[in-house]
Amino acid sequence: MDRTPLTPEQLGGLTEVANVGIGNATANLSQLLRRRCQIEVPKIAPLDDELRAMLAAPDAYLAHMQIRIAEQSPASIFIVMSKTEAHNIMAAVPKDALKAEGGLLTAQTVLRKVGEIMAGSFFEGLSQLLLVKGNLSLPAITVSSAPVPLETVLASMRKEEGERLAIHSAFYDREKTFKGKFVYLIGRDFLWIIFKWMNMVAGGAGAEARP
Amino acid sequence: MSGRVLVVDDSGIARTMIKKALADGGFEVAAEAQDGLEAVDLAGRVKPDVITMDYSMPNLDGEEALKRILAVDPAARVVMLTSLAEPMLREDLLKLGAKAVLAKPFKDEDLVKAVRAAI
Repeated sequence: MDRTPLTPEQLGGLTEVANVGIGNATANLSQLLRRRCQIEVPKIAPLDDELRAMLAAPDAYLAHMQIRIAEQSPASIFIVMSKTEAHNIMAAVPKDALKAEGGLLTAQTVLRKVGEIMAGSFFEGLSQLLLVKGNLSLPAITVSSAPVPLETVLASMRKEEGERLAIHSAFYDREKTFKGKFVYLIGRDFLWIIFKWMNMVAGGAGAEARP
Repeated sequence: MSGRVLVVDDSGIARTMIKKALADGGFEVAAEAQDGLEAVDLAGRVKPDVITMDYSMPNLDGEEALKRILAVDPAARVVMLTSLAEPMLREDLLKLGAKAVLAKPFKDEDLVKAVRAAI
């Protein structure tokens, strides 16, 4: 059931943008792991209790990155994996693909690398599709094994943006040895960029109702 | 017109972009499908010169639809479009019989070139 304030056309446009971004991100992950990876069809949902619980799960590792597109307010990307899945993806990384940091390759260092790769290619895919520039604040990447201080992240974003939406999709390898969640937390600024792009593509549809 | 194309993508806005690019390139869009199941059905009925097929779709994905279409008509010409275009997937899809694999997002001229080459 649709729980967003968006029209079906707006949801469709946002889903395609998510598909391109998360698909590009997962394609690069495939190259790191040297195995085919897939994504589920992306979903768009309000940042509700269910999503908050996933982002604060005590048995999860989270990589968090900030992204800023077309000089709008920053949005957040989270890569969420259970500790078991994070260890599985660590085992899936070819030994020569990553150099251990400080001599020890851990699930957290692998997740950090996965976050860097996926956020970078997500951002690149979006920039090419939407024909916008921006920057990715990779130094902000953090990997946490405790419940993420989500409220701190939200407070660091502009407060006047109103309700936040999450674009999310699962990614996994074909052998299903691991599964993770890619979550892109957006505000009105980003929606407006999408609707302007939809307007350009469809000649008016999608941009009539500013969020 | 230089060919009839079946456009397959679950996204309405993606279909709009593809149709515009094809029309600008001189192609006729013979039909459009929103998932792999519909694509398999329409491929048999419409007999397009080329099919542009999204990879990630609900109900039946593009890879499975490609297999089913080629099983019925081994001469079918399918150009795959995917945001997951890494080398292993490209190789697998080409081995299955796709004429080309284009990475999303793509330039209009690259789509037209791939469809033209497939005919």
